[in-house]
Amino acid sequence: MSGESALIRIKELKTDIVEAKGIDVSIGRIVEEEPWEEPLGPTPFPKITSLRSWDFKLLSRYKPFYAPFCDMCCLCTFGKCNLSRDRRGACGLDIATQQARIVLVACCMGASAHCAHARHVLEYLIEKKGRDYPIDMGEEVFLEAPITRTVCGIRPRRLGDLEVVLDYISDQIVQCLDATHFGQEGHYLDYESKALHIGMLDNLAKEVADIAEIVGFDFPRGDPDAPLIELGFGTVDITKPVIFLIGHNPMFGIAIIDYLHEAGLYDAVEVCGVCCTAIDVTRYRKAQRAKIVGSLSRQLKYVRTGVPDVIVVDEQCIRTDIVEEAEKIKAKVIACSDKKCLGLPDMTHEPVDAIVNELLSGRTGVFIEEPEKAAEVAVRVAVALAPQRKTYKLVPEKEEIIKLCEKCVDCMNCVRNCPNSFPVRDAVKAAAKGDFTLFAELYEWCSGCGRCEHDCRANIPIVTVMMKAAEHKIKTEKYKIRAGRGPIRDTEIREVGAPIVLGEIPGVIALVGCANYPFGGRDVAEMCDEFAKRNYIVVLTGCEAIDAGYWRDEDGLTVYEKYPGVFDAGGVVNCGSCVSNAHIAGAAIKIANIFAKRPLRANFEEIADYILNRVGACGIAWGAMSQKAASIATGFNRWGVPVITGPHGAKYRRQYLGRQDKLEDWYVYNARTGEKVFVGPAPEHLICVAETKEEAMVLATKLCIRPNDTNKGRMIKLTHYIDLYRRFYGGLPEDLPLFVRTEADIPTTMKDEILEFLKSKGWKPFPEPTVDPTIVERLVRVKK
Amino acid sequence: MPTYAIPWQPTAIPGPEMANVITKPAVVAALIKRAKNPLFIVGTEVLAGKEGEEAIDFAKRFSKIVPTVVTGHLLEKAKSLGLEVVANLPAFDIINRLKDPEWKGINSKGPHDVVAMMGILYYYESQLFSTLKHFAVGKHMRATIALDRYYQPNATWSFPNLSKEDWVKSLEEILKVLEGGG
Repeated sequence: MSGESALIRIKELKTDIVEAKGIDVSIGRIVEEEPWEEPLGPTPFPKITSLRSWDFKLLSRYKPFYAPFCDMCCLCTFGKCNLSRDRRGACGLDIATQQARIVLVACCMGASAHCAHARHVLEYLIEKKGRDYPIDMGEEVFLEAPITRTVCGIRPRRLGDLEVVLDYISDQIVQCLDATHFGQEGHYLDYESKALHIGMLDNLAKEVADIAEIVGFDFPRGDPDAPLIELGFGTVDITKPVIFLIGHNPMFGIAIIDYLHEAGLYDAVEVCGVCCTAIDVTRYRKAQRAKIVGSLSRQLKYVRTGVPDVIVVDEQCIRTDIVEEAEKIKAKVIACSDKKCLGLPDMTHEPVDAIVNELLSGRTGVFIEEPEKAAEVAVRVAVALAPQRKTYKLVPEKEEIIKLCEKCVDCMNCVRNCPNSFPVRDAVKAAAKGDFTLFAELYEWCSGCGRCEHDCRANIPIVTVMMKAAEHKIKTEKYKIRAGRGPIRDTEIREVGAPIVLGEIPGVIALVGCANYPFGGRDVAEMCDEFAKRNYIVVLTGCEAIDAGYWRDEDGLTVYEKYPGVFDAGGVVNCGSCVSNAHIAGAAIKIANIFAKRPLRANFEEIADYILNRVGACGIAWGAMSQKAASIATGFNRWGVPVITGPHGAKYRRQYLGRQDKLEDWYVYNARTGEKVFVGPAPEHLICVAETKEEAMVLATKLCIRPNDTNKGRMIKLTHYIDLYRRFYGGLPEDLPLFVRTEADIPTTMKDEILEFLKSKGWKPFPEPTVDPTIVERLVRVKK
Repeated sequence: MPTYAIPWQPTAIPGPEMANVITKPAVVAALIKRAKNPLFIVGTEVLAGKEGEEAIDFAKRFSKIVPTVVTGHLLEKAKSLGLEVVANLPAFDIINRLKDPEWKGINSKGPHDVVAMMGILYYYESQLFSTLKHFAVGKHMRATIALDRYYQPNATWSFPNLSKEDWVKSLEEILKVLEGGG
């Protein structure tokens, strides 16, 4: 049993009003533990400060670097307070602490989204399947919940066991959000420690969500050969009624698929979607003919094609003006999540016929909380509405567009309001002359936020114009993505544990996060291809998993057709939606347990220390945008996994940066001797921003270097670092002497050249090149 | 009285502390001349040619006067374009060092008291200037200067949003003074 809970069993109860036998009263949540030989570690269900000392170790090496987005604090009515030039706010807060506070708020928002998603799905599945429904992650996944085991110290065996985990996360989010109130926490490092705590819990919530979905909806259980799914605008059969899904919670999309099968309409209706809900619906075995239209950046773009008949929205990352957007194309909206009611009437308890009639007789949208009812309404409305909508003219013809563009007053607001300052005005001007080439190019780069047209003085519907301009491209957009496979199998970890820890597989690159790219999603596909070609293991989730598939090489293959889906060197592994991110952290944890036999149970610090010093993994969140991305990345950082973001990531306000010129920062304990030894800046940063895709790739090869690498492993890692550096930057990296511990680390094919370079830099071999590295003193086995 | 402008991306507006608009390019030249150890940071937007030949020419000539750090991955290109490059670092890395009062500078000649920057993606550069504004300027750093065509509100000094012609003219005026012609 764990958590603060109790089970009271009453054999017989007789009172004036009741007479009963065999009553079980449970107070709080109960997790019945089967005998577990692994001893309970030091931090079960850690509180805010339980892992503070670990955080402070990280933060003393990787110091927070703040880039305030705003000089002020606007959070209470003492303010606004100007915090620039060392001023303090009315509460006494300084600018650094305010940045850390805002980062914590963002992480709480992100973790709440994942926790609430998990809760929603779990309650639904418990209602359907029962609290005792077993958690079976498949024959080759015995270590079913590595994050839950490591953080909470429990092994969930049944769906009901996951409730205690969500109770715990909810409580911690409340505690940490409380710390952001006026007059609470007062030091940036403590805010950062809390952000790291919430980030870890975000990862935990995602694990709960994905485990529940895998067992409850029978998603793939770590199948490297999960089927290839159709991806792209051009894959949707627009001659059929089209239901368009947006969001993250698949239970509504799955209910639609089930209803279509039951009604014999599966072949008659197209179900497609963007973002994670689309990824997760296509993990459902009965839905593998559903289509993924694209990542989040294609949400508004797809609506503006006028194709969707019914738009079903669940939760997170959905445009808040989706009802207005639906009105523009005469489509209908069904909102399903109590977190996103959109001002629509609640028709959950109305009869289906009445709701269908309401929508068909003119209402644009309704809120229906019950998945099965929402599903039936969506299908019936789509079927009835589609023929009618085909008679409407939903998108202007090119001649009309030219006329619209002629209205441009040259104010440049479109360019100035575009997050990337793309040359929208030039595209409009060209379109006014009948040349749509630049608009078609913009379509490739554009993140689809629509800010350009919201600020257009001439009211030109710029996104619609762009979609019309790219019409011919859109029709040919037919790609493939491997269905999200879920966890990494224990058997795979057995195969790759040693080569990863010893460095012989050069690293695990996680392409994760949102789609707010500096120059479009193609960068993600190219990075994926480059790393897979180099025998890194590439794991992907969410929007970046989608965008990686949105490209074909010269042989016409997407990365999912070109590379196997196995977690091994050269594999391209789509784990699934953003909650499936948990399996990436899970893989690193499994390496510590399955390969290195480190106990997981409530043993966070030791496992994170293991990952930081031994598991060469690096995340690239090239389009990170949301608060969830902030909490995900911060969680990975607490596990010891570095993350690189694209340039928009600078707006998160905080990075964790190492200083390679401060040699004193790069000492660890040798756990065998207790001595402090120099290991070089490995990994150099915990979270940083890259200016270009090329810089990100070179940084990623470097951030996979770990103190534990064998000579062969370091040689392989340096080969990739040097090779990519040479290709993009030219010459040898200036910091090479910090990563070559002995001559045996030098790539053999470049030995003479590198030795000469090292000599010119005054390089000397490291005093102790082979160590058993740890930054946690208590993990030293023998003390001198 | 200092004058302010609206940021090129208006939402980059940070609050009450905004860059002084450079109305006379000679002010920039004077700041550089008076600096004990100035630094010039050039990003990939200039080096990739997105700001035009004139910006490259300015960077080349300015790098011969002020120690220059190139950010991003275009080191080789910077050298081939004729820039004199002291170091190549990620943008966050050079700014992280610059905010450290103990750092001895890229040329080991002591803290950089005046830092000029150009050619990094507008929104990213805005964030980098913000770090220096809050954690370096007024402490161990005297001023930062944005040499881009568009107003950077977090710098100490910045051009307003200029036409390309006016911008090139202003850059030329700065060089004229520094190269000894003015």
